[in-house]
Amino acid sequence: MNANEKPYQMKVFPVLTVLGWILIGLALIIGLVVLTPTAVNYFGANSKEVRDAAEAGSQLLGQISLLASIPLWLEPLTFLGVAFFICGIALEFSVIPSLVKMRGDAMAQAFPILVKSGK
Amino acid sequence: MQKMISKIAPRFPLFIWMGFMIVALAFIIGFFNSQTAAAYFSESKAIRETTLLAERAAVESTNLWLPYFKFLGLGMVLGGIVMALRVILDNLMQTGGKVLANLPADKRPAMPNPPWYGRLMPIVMMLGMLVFIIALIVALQLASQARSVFANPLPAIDAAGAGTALLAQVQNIHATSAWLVPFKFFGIATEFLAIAMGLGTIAYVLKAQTEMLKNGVQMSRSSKKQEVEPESVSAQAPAGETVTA
Repeated sequence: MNANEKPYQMKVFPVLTVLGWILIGLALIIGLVVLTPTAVNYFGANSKEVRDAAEAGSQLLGQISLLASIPLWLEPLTFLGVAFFICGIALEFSVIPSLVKMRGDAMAQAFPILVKSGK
Repeated sequence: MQKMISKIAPRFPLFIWMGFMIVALAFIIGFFNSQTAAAYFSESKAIRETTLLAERAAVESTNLWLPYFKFLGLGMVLGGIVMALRVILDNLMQTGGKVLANLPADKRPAMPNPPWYGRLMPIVMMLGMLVFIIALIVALQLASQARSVFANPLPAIDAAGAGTALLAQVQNIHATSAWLVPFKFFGIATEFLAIAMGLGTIAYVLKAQTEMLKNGVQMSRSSKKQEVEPESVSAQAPAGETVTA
C-alpha cells in the first residue's frame, strides 16, 4: 500500500456507517410517526370489548395488524443497521495492520540513518 | 474540554467494569423475574387474573424497564471502548510530539492536527450515554405506570372504556414503547459511530506519522547527498576555481 493512497477500507467504512445511521434513523422515525400514533388511536379510543369485536376489513383490525406486523421487520432492520456499523468498524480494524507495517518499513529506513548520525 | 476528556479517558477499565456489572445485574434480575412469571403461570387463569395482581404487576413492570437498564450497561461498555481509543490516540500524539522534539526547531515539521471527527468522538460518546439514560428514565416511568395498571384485576383493565384513566395509561405504555425501542438502538448507533470515529482517527494519525517519518528519511538523504556532492566537486576542481552550487 502506497502511503499517499487511501486504502479501500477507509473509503468503504464511511458508506457503511452512513447506511447504518439511515437504517436505525428510519426505524426510529417509523416508531415515532407510524407506530406511536397507531397505538394511541388503537388503545386510547377503544375498550378491549370494542377491539375484540372488530370485524375483518375494519379500521381497528387494520391498526392491530399494523402494530403486530411492523415490529416484526423493524427490529431486524435495526439489527441490520447495527451490523452495517460493526462491518465498518471491522474494516477500520483491518486497515490498522497494514498501517503498522508501513510504519515498520519507514522505521526500517530511518534506523540506519539514525545509527549513522549517532556515530 | 479536550484536556478534561484526556484526563478522564484513562479510567476506561472502570467504565467497562461498571457496564459489565450492570449487564450481569440485569441477567440476575431477569432470572428472578422469570421465576415470578413461572409461579404466576402455574396458577389457573381465574386465580391469576383476580388474586395474583402483585406478581403480574412485577413481571410486566420489570419487562418494561429491564431491557433499557441492560442497554445502559452495554452503552457503558461501548463508551469504555471509545475512552480506550482516546487513550491510544493521546499516546500516539504524545509519542509523535516527543520524537519531533528531538529535531532542531527550524527543521521540525508541524504536528498534523487530528481530524474533526477525532475531536467530536468523546462528545458523540457522551450523547449516546445521554440517550441511554433518557431511555431508562422514560422506561422507569412506564414501569411505574404498568404497576398501577396491573394493580387492577385483568377483567377491570379489559372493561376500561374510552376516556377512562386506565385506558389512557394502557395507551401511553403501548404508544411510548413504540418509539422507545428504536430510540435505544439510536443510542447504540451513536456509540458505534463514536468507535468508528476513534478508529478512523487512529488510522489517520498512524498514516500521517508514517508519511512524516518517510519525509524525514528523504530529507536526511537529500541533505547528505548535498553535503557529499560539493565535497566531490571541489576535490575534482582545479585550485583557484570557485564552485557554484
